[in-house]
Amino acid sequence: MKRLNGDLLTGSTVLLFGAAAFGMSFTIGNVTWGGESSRLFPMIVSFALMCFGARLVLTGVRGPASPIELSPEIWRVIGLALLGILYVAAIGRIGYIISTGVAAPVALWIFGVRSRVGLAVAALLCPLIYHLVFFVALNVYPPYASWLTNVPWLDSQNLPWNS
Amino acid sequence: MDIFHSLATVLSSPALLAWIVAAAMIGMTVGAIPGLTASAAIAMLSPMTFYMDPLSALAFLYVIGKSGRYGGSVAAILFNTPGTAASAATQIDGYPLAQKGMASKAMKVATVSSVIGDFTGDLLLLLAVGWLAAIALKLGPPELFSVYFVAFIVIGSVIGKSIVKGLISALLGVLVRMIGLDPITLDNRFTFGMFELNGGVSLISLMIGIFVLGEVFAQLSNVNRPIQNNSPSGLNENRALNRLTWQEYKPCFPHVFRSSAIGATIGALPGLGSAVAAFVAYSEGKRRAKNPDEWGKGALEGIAAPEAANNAVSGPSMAPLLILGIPGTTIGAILISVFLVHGIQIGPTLFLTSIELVYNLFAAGLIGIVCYGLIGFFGAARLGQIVQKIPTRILYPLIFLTAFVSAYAANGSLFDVWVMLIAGVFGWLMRKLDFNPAAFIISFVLAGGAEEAFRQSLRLSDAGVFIFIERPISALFLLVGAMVVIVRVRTMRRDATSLKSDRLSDA
Repeated sequence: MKRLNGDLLTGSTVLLFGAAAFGMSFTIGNVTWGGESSRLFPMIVSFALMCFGARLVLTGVRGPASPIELSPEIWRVIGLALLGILYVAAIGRIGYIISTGVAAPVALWIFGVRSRVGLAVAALLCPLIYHLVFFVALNVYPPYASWLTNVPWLDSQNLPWNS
Repeated sequence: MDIFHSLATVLSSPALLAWIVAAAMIGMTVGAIPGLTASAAIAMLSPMTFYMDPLSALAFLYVIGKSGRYGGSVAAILFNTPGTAASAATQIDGYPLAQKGMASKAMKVATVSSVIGDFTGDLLLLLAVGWLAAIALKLGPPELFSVYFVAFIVIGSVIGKSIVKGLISALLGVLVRMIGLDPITLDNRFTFGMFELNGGVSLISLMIGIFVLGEVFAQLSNVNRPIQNNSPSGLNENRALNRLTWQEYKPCFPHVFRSSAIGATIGALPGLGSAVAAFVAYSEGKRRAKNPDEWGKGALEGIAAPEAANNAVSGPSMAPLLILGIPGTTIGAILISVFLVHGIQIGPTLFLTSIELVYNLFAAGLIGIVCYGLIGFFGAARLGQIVQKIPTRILYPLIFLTAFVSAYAANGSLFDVWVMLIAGVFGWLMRKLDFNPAAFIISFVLAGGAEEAFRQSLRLSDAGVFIFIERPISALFLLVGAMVVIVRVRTMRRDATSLKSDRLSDA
């Protein structure tokens, strides 16, 4: 288990983030409307953020404050976050149902479910239930699957029983 | 008299009543599951309410918030794990009672006290809300900005372990709100040339990410630890031992009324919330108790005081939300988005334009209290048994998948799902590094109004920012903000010094 100086690390990150936001505030148009500009509020906020970031850095430098513990569970969190990224990317390409059919058992596996039957049931039931609740009952328009659109052999008009 | 008319309206609508009963059950269940909060449930369910009529949608989410606060006591008493932060004080006396085989009695005390506390808070809200709205209508932009400023300070500095981290969380929320087109000049701000960011970051996606996905990530480390029923006698208790008599509850009354007043006062202040109310009420109750030695060992009064306080927060926390558009709690922040989606502008004019809706919502809240009171009094033990059987390794993956489809359903946009995912990781990091996710979200909601009031004030002024000091009410609010920070810093320093001296004396 590794330990990092939390205040120093987070303070530096906040300081850099505040500085970047402060710098970017200057790129906002400087059109004034009755005396004040649209960049004023973001500049004040990002400057305040820099100040508090610097305060946190100072706390970290002065003493051994709030260590961050990097526990082994972090890899599971990274795994789940990666699954999330791939899942959203897949929804945009192959649609909601297939993506959920794959993501559901993987998510269950990350959380420790090892039953093959359970994973298979999840792969079938999750897309079905979510589809029925959100896209049928609530009438939400399903996401656009870019890879499966304009594919001739998937077009229902070209199916043998429709021709 | 408006409230009686509204009660009749709600009671004569079977569909609305069904939503209220469903909300009472959902809130209790979610509150009773350790790790899941009413805020998370509301964030996840709010996109579904966009397809409901405004009153049903708001009543549904409002009652989930109310019963979720109460539901936390079930886990605190039965499993020695508070379902919500607010019920951590209930655990101190609730769990020892469960160990003695009196879990049902403890839950009955928690239920009765929660119901009395919640009713008291709602009645105070009903009595004061019209008067407060009339005052709020007289506030100009400088006064409004000062109120927002105090809210940022209180929200950022009072909750959490570190003032600096709390204020950073609040500032980050404000900065994220700045993303998008400037509402007056239409300048691009922090959009990086992305068209999807022109309208700003979606509040629903942000909240689902921070509260739901962030919690799922946080729960990954606890997934192999099933909910423990630490009660030696489990739930198969002696019925006679668990019957709550009038004589037993009578000594709780003074504590319940005092704690309800404490909870209602704290609830009206933005940012403090039910956890603070519960602990203040517990310590005040113990200080004034005739039997302080029994507190912590299973005193019924020790359950009644925090439960009354944490539920009394619910009603008054709606006052700053409805009157000024300032959410005092995360649930309030979510309700704002639901109001906006249904085209209802909150603020003092709400009491001129939609007074009927406001009173109908209050009436729904009162009926919700009766619902969760009845369900809790007769079924809390059964709910505990059900919650104990829910396998977290199945529950959390399902919540994970629901978060994605909920974020998409809000606007039918995959971009919002990406925002939710980023917010989820950010929310997990905030929890891990002791930042304050609630301050982040509430500040995000407040920032739009604060900037508008700030810019309007500057336009009104010849003296620049000095307008905030020149106007007496505005200056008073700024003074209150400064005092809050000073008191908080002094309290933290005193606590740190006493901790250091305790360690030295132990050594």
